[in-house]
Amino acid sequence: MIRFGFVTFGLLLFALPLLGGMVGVLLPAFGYFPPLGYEGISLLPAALFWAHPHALTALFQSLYIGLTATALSVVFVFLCLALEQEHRAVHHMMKLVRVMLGPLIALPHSTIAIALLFLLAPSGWLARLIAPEITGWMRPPAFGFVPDQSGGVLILGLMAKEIPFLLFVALAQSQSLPVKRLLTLGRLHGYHGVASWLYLIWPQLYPLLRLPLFAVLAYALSVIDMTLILGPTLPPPLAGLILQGFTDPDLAARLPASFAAFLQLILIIAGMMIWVGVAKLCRLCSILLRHHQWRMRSISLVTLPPLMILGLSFVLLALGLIAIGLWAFAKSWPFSANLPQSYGLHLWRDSAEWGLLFAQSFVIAVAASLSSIGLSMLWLEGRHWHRRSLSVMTLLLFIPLLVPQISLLFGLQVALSYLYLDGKLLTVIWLHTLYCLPYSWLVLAPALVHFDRRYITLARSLGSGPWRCFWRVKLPMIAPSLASAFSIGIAVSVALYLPTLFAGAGRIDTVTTEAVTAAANGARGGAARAALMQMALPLLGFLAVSFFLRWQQAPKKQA
Amino acid sequence: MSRKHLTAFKHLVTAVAMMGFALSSAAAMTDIAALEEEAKGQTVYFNAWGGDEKINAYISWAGQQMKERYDVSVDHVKLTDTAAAVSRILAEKTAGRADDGSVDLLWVNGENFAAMKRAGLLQDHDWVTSLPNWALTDATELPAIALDFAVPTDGRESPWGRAQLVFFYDSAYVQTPPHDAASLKDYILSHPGRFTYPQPPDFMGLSFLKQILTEVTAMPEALYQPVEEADFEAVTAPLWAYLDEVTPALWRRGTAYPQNYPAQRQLVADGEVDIYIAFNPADASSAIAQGDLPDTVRSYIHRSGTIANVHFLAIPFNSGSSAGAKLLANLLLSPEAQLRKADPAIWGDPSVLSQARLTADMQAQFAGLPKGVATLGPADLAKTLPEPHPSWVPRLEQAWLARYGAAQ
Repeated sequence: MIRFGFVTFGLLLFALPLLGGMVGVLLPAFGYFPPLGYEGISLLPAALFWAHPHALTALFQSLYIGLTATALSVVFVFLCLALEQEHRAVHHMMKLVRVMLGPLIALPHSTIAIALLFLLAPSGWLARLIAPEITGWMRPPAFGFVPDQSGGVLILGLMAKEIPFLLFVALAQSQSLPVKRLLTLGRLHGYHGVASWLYLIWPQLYPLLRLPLFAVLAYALSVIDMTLILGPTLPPPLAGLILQGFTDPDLAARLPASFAAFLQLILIIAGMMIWVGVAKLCRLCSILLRHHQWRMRSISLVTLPPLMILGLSFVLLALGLIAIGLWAFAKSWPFSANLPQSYGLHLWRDSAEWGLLFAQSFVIAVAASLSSIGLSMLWLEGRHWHRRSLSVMTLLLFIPLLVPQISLLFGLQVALSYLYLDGKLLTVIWLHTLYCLPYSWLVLAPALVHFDRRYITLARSLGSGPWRCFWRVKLPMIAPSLASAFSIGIAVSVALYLPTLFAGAGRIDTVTTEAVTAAANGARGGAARAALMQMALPLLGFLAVSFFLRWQQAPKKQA
Repeated sequence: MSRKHLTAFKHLVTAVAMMGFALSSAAAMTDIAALEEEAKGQTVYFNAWGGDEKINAYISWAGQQMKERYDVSVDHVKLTDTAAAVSRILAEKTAGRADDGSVDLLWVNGENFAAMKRAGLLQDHDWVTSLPNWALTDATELPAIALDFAVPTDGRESPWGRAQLVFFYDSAYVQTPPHDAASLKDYILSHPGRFTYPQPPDFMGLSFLKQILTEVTAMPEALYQPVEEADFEAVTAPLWAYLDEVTPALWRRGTAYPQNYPAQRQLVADGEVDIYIAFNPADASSAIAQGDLPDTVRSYIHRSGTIANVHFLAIPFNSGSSAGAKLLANLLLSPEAQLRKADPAIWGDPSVLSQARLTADMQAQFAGLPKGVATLGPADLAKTLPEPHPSWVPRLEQAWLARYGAAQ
């Protein structure tokens, strides 16, 4: 009973802000907004929203961008996994990817967007590199890739973020499957590795990826921070319209914006239904192919070009990240010069300002990451989980990732200010903890649930108390999972934009709110400085964890 | 609960006291003494746009002054967008939070002010005209200090500075800058891809539309009445004809716009476009000094004048430190603070004080201020156009979106 109460309490802890957020947006979405004198339930907000000349375009744009980015990410993840054992090139690439995966996952969305902006804008680094030597441009060309109204660059940016994440989850989950055995089995029957993956492994792996995938899809369907930097802007996708409505000087614009926030929720549900439908179709196709015993012996030729594109995209991203580093220390870099003409530390002179920003982000990230680990541990240790209740719990924890952040914006603001909780550091940490929880749960649950209890029984029989057993036996054994949960938690927290924006009430800034603001204001130096800190924070967490693990796993001398 | 009641009671007492003081004009000095007493130890959350390092440094100077003189702490909450703070105050009103609001003083004007006044988000009495330094302003000389975008301020906001729409161009590429809407059109058409304006609903973008509209419309007088009283289509038709003609020759062929004016300034810095627009006449001079713009950038305004307005400081209805906020507003209106603000090396924002009401020494100091390399003198900025009635803005925005709001 106590345990049950504990879980309920824990769920309330994060159900409360979501509930407050939902109510606070649903009421004005249907016309109830007393402070502006709207006291009845009506469809006026809906009518106002549809009166926007480009509402439908915005809606379809969101759907197109979210679905395309997620689908392409999944295809690439599949290809990487399936071709790892088949191609020497892919094999080498994956080796590199496995090493780089930690830092890659840790890159916040907005950092990736800034990297692409610095590279692909008409006056970006690419144009500077090829001008004027090759193109003869003395001034930036009249065209460029950013801001991009087709949404292509945004899709590219989303993929750069989501592929490493999905790959990480897939690699972790595939460890519980007999991949090698299935591949050998396939090969014995003359099937290409890709065919074996498609017919034998993927159908088992996909259900394990579904939840993280939905989180990725929900994010891509309602992305805002990357959109502000990369476009499309004319019109913006639905999330952009919502943000515009909530920042419009005309307060009545909150009504259609609330309705749009409600639509955003519907859009995500619709997006998931489309996804599930298409996934079923794909599954059907693969079953048909299997029945026809298509062994895909010559598939390699077809799969190489997309992989080359993937490789190229990551080279672009790397160049963009280097450009961030250059701008953060460039003193003067006029157009068409390949590199800055002079370097300086003028952006870093006001160390009190950026130091505070860095320290604040650091404290929030560490606190949120640790408390999400603590909560996960308490829940996982507090009861013995059945497979079924475990998956229900996982689903519950994922809800914050499935509900679009932007839809909670105003409602949460009302709820927090009602409770006098807005603009407090603890509130921001609490909200960040909610967003870190699903990730730390995802990493810790397998380690703790599959923990062999016989070690504890053995330790108990040798006379250790329960606490000693926990500290000296269990913790060291699950240390790798704890460590990776910690570093992922830091990365998640650092990347959060909207939750920080509305829980912080403008009083609490992090490197990410600073980066998005600066980039959207065209302040290149400020954006570079903030983006560099965005990279440094999770990298610090990642390095700290690697060193800790090396130290922990090193053979210790007997004292 | 008791703490809440106590604060509410304290506010009631102050409010009653304030009204009493406002009635007796001779009480200005006692007024300020009582304010100082009440403000001691308060923290004023000053919500102001934080996108300019110079302005931020100026505000932090004011904060130090407040600490030294009155033992009031000032916390500058740096906003990206004033509307975010308005939204927060609205959220607080929605939640029924009538005291200890998150905003104590807000940098505001125009549409935001009109919306806040309408929704009852401001202090509901005249607290401005009883400020000691209000006596140094002159509302007949500068009507805009009491008439914000044609909306009476009714003492709900204290004037802080003046702004005028100014065009900035890179003289490395532009030999003779345009001097009115018509010659600007010629320039755009003969230099495809080198002009743009911030995308409405951005404030600067809408201001550009208002400027062109004022110049090209056949019925400019209609703009100063509520839009409902005018024939919107007829008044604005010349504007849309103008934009239809120039849009294909804009930056990125009008398929993308910078999101705000600092973004457009960056485009000028990179040489992507030739001209940008800002409301601070000293904008380019500061940017040049900071190395953010090439030193070839200069400024101009249109012959018929450009839109000018005043920006203000307002106190929300639920501020928990309104005494401190009033003291800060009064300090920022003082000759010393206004002089400092007008110095281009510090900020370069023109004063709202009436020169005639200042001491001879102060007048001399104002006259002796240096001006930046890209800043026009008072004589060049003499021609101003008043802001249209704020009700025109949402209509202009809708109409613009319908015409140019989709890239395809």
